[in-house]
Amino acid sequence: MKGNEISKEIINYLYMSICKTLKNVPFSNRYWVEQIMMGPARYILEEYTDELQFTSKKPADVCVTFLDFLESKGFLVSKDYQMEASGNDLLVRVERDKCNYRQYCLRAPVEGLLFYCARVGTFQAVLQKVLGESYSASVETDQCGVCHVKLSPASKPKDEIVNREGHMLKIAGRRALLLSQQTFASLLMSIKEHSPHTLRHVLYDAGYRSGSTLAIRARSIYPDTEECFHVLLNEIKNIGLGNVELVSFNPSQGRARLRCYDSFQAAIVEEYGPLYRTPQVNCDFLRGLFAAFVSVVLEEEVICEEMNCQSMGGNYCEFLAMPVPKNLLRKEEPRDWRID
Amino acid sequence: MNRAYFGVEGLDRNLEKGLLYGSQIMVEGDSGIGKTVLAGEFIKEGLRCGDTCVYVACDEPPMAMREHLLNFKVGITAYEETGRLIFVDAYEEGESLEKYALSDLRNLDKYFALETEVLRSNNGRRVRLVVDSLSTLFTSIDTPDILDFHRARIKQLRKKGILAMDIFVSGVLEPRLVTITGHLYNFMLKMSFSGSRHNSVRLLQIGKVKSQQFVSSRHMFTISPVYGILVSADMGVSE
Repeated sequence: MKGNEISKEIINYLYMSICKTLKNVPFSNRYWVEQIMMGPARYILEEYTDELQFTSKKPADVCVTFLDFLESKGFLVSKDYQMEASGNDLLVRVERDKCNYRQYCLRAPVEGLLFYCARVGTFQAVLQKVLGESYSASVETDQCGVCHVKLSPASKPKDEIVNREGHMLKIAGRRALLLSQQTFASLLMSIKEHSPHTLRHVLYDAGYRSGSTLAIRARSIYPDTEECFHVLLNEIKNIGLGNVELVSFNPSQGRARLRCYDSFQAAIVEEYGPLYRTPQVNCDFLRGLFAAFVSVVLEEEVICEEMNCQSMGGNYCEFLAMPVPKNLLRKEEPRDWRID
Repeated sequence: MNRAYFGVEGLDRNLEKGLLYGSQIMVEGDSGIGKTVLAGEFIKEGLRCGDTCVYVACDEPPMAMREHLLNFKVGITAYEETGRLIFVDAYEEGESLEKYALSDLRNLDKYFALETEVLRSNNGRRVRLVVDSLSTLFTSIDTPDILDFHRARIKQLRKKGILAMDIFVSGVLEPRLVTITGHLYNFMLKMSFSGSRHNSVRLLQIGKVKSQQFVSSRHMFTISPVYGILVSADMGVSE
């Protein structure tokens, strides 16, 4: 095996190893993988400034210049990548078998790892550095094994919902804190003791308010409705509230059916005892979150109900989000989704 | 076997072990006191517990209860579409667009048949039934017919394990009929206004048969647009 080939293999293993580790790191997700994939190109741009001369400001020319440079170092064959401008977008085609990252690309989904195309990350980093503009990307691989990449100027730079700024943890740009289940359970038990009739309302409203803040932030980053919704559901898992599965989503009808495995509220009931006199659905915080997510993403007032709860013996909690019937809707001031 | 509650904290606190499915509750109260609000609380609690809730609307169209539940942020569409919340229209007669509607409001046999049909279609499920108000259905019926109907109906509900709440508006029926009818229920709630015209308070009297004796306690309550019925601390009155 040639030295160059084993080096490429090592790079693939390195990416797989990073993604395998990230899977177990709290708050990690696709955004961070994207940042990792952009990293090497950023270093190369800095280290080889003299050799990399970008004479054109056309996205296709910028990417070709960078590929030519990598070819001059024996890393790839530049002409394997076919570039085509389509309006403001850049379309790239490459046979997957000719890509240095095919091993990572093929194995990551099989092993259930986070995945982000390393080559796409390279293009994004180069375009951002040379043109000063962020690009969003999508990749589709056809049946012949040809990858079709579409790079489009992003309306807003991507940011992460859960982030760390210095010593402060932030969610959707606001300061956040990490609570243990025990601490959260003690809050619930205190409300139950002092004001039991408010418990479910407090949880639903708290979920709705915090969900609105998250959803507004996500909406500004992800204009595509379905992508935005998936990002939000992933955040629920990320922040430890449960593992959410989107069973069905119908944006035109304002409906969603969701399942949550191992909801943190169901777990509290199991560990710290019932919140109510008789077994009943418990996950009002999640219910509020989902209602806010769908309401903000679809810009339509939606109510979410928990139809089954894991705490009542099921394998998961199931939620149905549906629009408020317009004929029964009271004429009120529009709801302020933000926390004042 | 799980016990059932009303979903009203101050009231449920007085129920000790709760209510058995198959129990019948009689709610008698002044006009405007909050009987329908109590019915709404009972339904909300049932929906949360996984029950199928049947609401028979006799005094207003079913839409009024839908609106009421929606104001308390209950996702009625989700429950109606999954068959967990069922409305029976016993108000609009021929004009009703509901799936279940009573065609003749002066015919108890037809009502009995309709109620039986609805309950049969939910066989095997845990059901809560609210009739709001049963006294309205009785207004133009002769007393012997009411008693025959009532005995047969309560027997059927008990046999089927239905948790039923029948609402009676005070002053609509003869006191003697109400007394006789009341004996068929396991649990009674009386809701009334008290105090002066300018400073009236709402009172809730909880009664049940215990050790062959009827015991009751009285509580003040208010109605919150957010929390529904809020019962104040025990007033310590017993009869």
